[in-house]
Amino acid sequence: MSAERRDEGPAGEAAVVRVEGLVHRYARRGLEDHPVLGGLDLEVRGGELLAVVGPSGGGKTTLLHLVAGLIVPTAGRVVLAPEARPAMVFQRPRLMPWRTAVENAAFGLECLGAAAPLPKAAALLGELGLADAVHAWPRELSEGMRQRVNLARALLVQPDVLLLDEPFAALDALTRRRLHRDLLALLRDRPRLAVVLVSHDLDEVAALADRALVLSDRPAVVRADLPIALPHPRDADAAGRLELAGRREELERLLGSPEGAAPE
Amino acid sequence: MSDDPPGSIDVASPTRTGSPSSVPWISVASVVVALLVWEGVCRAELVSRVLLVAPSRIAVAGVEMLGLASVRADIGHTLAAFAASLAIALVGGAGVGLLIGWSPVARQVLQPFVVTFHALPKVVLMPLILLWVGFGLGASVFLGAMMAAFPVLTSVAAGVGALEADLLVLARAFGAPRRLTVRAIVLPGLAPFLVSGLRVGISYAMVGVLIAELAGSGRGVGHLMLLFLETFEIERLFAAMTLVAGLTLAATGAVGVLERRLGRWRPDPA
Repeated sequence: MSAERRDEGPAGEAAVVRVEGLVHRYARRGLEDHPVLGGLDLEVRGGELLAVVGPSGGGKTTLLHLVAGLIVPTAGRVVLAPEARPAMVFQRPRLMPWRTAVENAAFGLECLGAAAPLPKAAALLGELGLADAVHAWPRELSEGMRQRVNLARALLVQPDVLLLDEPFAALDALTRRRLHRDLLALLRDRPRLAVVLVSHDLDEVAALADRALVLSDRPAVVRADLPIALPHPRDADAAGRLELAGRREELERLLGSPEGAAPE
Repeated sequence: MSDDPPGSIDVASPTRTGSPSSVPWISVASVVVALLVWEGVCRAELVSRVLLVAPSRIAVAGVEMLGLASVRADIGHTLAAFAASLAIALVGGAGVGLLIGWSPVARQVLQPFVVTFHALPKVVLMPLILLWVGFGLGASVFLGAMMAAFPVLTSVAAGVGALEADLLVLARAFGAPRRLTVRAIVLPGLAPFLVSGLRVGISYAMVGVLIAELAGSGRGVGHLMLLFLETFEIERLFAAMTLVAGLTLAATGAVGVLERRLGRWRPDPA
């Protein structure tokens, strides 16, 4: 039960992702100049779970898509460490309905041209408690199971940075807590993996993150950078729960302060 | 986390259980009852034998007819025209459907023609077809393909529109090679649309082929039907009609099986 996922702590790791002066505008008809990101700087180190919180529609998903290279920024840049591979866990699971759970999980590996993608995918699904559901169709899975497949698909490509776009938002509280626990277990086995978690759920952020960035209203800039260096599991005892509540309150205060938007 | 050791999972033998859709007994019963009523009406001579032939006599006439080499040649002729027109409709319809679905420019350029020809009763082209390609196989294939192409075309174009943008973004996020994107996302997404277009196209192709044959091509089952009408062989006329219906039903049924196989992942394979 170590405080950090690695012995030396995130500070000793090099940055896997560095974002410098990131500006993004969506130029759509009617929304001619629609600035979403207004000059964002951030850094994520190997082994660190960075949470990004901020008002809805505030460009958090845009930030992830920029880091993943799915869109090109209007200005500024995203620098990944050499050879670093990002992998995206989308908000909706985006499973192919015509592929079974294991075939969906293997998709990322297939994209890399990896050998024997199916057994590898089946093994990780087993680790995620889906051993009995590997050959199920997505429609036969619960939302929580679909999100596990979504997570497995991204982890299987052995990414250096995992981009989580509110993947637990649509789950009921109990399933969400189980997935949090499973995610932390998976991250313990992957001590150098950097994670960027976009979330609206301050309990989730307090429970999972090593550090939280609070974004401003649109166009988003970093308003606060709050370390949450608490040992896992964080709600094991009364003292831990008290600490957790403190961090959560602090986040809420930062998010709700005058120049920001109302918390979710 | 599961306690099962990873790696103990059997990947090779997926246990996909597609429930074979069985025909409900009540439907079978209703068909049997209808045939019995038909038979009874004819036997009781409630309707003239010239106007309606009993199913049993149609069957006898059919078997007898199939014994004739010339009849078999005409059936072969119709089947060849049917298969050729369906193949052309499938390739051409899917090709234009993809073009229209994908490219807004192509859609704008082709749409007026597609709408016009789609709305046009293709039969009015028959004299022109006869002028261009003459009587015979060519005319049958021409009209059959023209008629069957449109349901395929509209269905495929709709399929392109229904492709999930989310999945295409997913493919991009994982850096999927183009071939994999096509194989894993585009084709499986389009397949149900192609097959349902094909299913409608089948009966259209048969209609086109028969119209050409009935217009006097001198060969094929349509020609046989005209012949039997002229010689007043009403039982054989009914047998020929039954044969055409049977062929179309069989082809549609085969596509239905294909549709269910491709749609195993769907909640309720139709």
